[in-house]
Amino acid sequence: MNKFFTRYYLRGLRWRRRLRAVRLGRKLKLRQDNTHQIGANDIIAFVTCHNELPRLEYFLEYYRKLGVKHFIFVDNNSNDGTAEYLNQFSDVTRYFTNQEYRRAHFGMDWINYLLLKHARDRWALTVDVDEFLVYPHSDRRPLNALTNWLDASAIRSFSAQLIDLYPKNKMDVSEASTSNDPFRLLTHFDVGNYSYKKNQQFGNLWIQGGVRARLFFSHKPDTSPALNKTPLVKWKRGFVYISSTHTLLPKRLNQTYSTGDSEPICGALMHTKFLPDLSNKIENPYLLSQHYSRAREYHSYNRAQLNDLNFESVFSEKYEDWRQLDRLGIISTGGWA
Amino acid sequence: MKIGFVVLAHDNIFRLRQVVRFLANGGAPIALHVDKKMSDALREMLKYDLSNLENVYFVEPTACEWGDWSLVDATIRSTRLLLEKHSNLDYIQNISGSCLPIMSVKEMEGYLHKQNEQVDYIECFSQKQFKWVTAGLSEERSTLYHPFNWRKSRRAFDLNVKIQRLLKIKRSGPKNIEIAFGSQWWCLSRPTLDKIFNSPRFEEFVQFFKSTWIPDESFFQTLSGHYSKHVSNRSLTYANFDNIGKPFIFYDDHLETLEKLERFFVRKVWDGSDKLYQHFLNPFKRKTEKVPNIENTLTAALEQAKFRATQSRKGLISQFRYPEKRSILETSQPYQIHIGMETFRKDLEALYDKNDDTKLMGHIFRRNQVQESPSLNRNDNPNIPLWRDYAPSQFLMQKIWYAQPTKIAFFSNPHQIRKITRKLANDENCQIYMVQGSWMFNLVKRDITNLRRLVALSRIETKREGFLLSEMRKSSAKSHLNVIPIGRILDAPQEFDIQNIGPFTTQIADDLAMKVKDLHEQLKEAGVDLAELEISLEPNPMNMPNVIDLETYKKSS
Repeated sequence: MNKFFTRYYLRGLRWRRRLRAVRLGRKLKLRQDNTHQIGANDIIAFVTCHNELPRLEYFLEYYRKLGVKHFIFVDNNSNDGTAEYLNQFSDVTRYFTNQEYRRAHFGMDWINYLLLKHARDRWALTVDVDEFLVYPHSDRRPLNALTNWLDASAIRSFSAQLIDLYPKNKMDVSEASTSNDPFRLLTHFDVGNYSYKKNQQFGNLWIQGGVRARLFFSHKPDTSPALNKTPLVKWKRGFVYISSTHTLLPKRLNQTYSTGDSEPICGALMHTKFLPDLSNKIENPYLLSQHYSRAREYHSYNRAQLNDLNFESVFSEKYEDWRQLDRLGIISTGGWA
Repeated sequence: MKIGFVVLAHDNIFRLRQVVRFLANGGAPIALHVDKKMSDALREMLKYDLSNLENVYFVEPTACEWGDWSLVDATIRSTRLLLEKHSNLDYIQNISGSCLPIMSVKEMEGYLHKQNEQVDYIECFSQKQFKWVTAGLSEERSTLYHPFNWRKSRRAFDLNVKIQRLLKIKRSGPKNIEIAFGSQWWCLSRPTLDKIFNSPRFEEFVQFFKSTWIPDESFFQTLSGHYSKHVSNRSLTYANFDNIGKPFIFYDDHLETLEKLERFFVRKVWDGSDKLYQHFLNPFKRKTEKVPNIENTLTAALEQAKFRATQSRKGLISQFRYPEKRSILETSQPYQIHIGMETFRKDLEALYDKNDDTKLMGHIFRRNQVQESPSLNRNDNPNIPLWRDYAPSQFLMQKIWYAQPTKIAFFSNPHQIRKITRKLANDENCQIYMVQGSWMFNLVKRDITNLRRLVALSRIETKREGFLLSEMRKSSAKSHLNVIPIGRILDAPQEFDIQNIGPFTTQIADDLAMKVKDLHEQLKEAGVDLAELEISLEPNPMNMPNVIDLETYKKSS
């Protein structure tokens, strides 16, 4: 009986979110429209950002190299020149909003609306500006080689665990301006320091851990940020992201893991949060008011005094490439030779 | 030797055009069958593009469905057309639009010429002997009637199979002919093809195979097995299939391997592999040296990928693998837990130091510390134990997994691992070495004078120990337990045979033994039942009084 109710509850939730997405999404203002450039089989990236100008160049470069053909940005009230910067590209479509990020389910309502509008029956990548997708063979095969393979294997959703990258010892503020390649500053990540719990309601695996749990949330482990994400989905009308890209509906899209003998394909999102500019961000009152759970995360960074923090521990490992992640068992090729 | 090609295509005319052009420029006639489902505009475009090439024939298009007779029908019509138009052809090679020629037509003809006999290159395996079919139906492909296509109408297909199984239908097939299976992409000699097509029983064969499932993998295979003088089971097209039966796809990064491969075609190539197409369809490309071994290497790599997809890594917990069984701790390799052995810490450390493949850790489950090594005093982060206790069994799983190839051993006590005791008991990799009653060492060291407190503590410890032992001694338990009661250690050195490490002999100082015996006396008088610990009732070796003398203890410890 319980199962029965859950099913209808989830269906209702999905509809509510879709309606809300349309209601809030229609208030987005289209400031730069390049959607006519999108080809039939192109992969589109969906990004929400607020004052991320320093990161944009590397971000766009990285994903263009992977073969993302179009970017759809939701510019949430940026005033640092993001708009001007994005306007110069013919593969970027920019929406603007000054609505509150928090009230749009942390941007997900906007993204759901845009996915519905632009990504129907195509592969859509939903990422943040500080997340870089790594998948099996990502050094030599473009993203559409992956999506073609997923199509042939009848897989609709591709999961990628968030892996927090951090500097080896301490944050080096002086290097901030000399390089925009975050992988040069952030070299290490945590291995074997994760916890996994199955969410019975949505069927997804709730992953926590990594450096953020270890340094900022270990006094209250259950509040540490979730790391499971499903950023790459062959979108269909009726799909909806519920909480960030952690949870999707319908439920079957969350089943990206096996409980038995097989190893489904998956990737990783390298999270480059711990760049030196983070210490400015945690003092930004707008971000503090808009972030998840009243920016619990950002407050704990403050307490820990980011600049004096030593990130390294027994779990630290130097990041190399996807092969290393595969070897360690963080991602799997899932039969894609 | 002259060779002609039958090309079956259904999409991506841009790549198809390139391949056809390459083969035609090599001087080979080509019969091209393009699926009827392709739009007319594209088909016209293709025809226009290829119109300047001689000897490229467009076979009348039919709609082909995977697994259907239509594919074989298209192949037969194309083959016949080629044989009629070109009486000088010696061989016909059948390829798909997404196959890539990795050698030139000249090289191929040269190779065929070198083989003096009339060899037919077609995989031709009887299902009984070779189990060529790995996924889905196998023999039932031809022993049942298949009027439905699984891709189009799955339910009807499955129901149809079920009903016929119930009715125990078994078609016998054409007389004197053994049904064989093999890859669809073959290269057959003219005499064999002539024999097949001109056979008086040809209509009978067609009628039979029309109602089998996936006839393209058995029609020509069966008949050439019957009519050919010499079958080489090695197809000229390299193809390998993954666990769900779809062909492995090649990408730009396979270029070096494919260059060295001793085959003429590969199936299948991703249509975005610009480098591969550019390289192999270049008429002026350098001849490269072939390496016979490379095929085994490639096959092994693909098999490895297949293996990985179907056999996950045991003992790993990850975003893609979540072993749901709650009662079992699933681990990848053996690990050792030393319970109550701290007294012999130094000796154990020395023993483990000699061994490179096992690492001895401290109390990794201690309440306020994760002691990574036995002598570590405190952790940098005081909250790590909280994080560990959030998911203790996953913590241990990952400790064991990421220590690989090194194995781990650690100290613990029954209380520290109480939350995962049941899981440990059900893990066959778990090896426990335990001194039963070792809490007495700790009590002695703590200098407790209050008898009631001593009794209470001993009762608690006995209970904890009892829980651990009862779990480990359950008939369903799979862990390996080595217990020595404290009493035996007190009387004489005892030996633990630690797996892969060697024998370990307990050495205990006389005065410590004496104090434990005294404590035992005290507790026994207070009514605590410690019979299980096998402490002998004989007076202690040095004839010391049975009352604990606090002053001397403090001095000695």
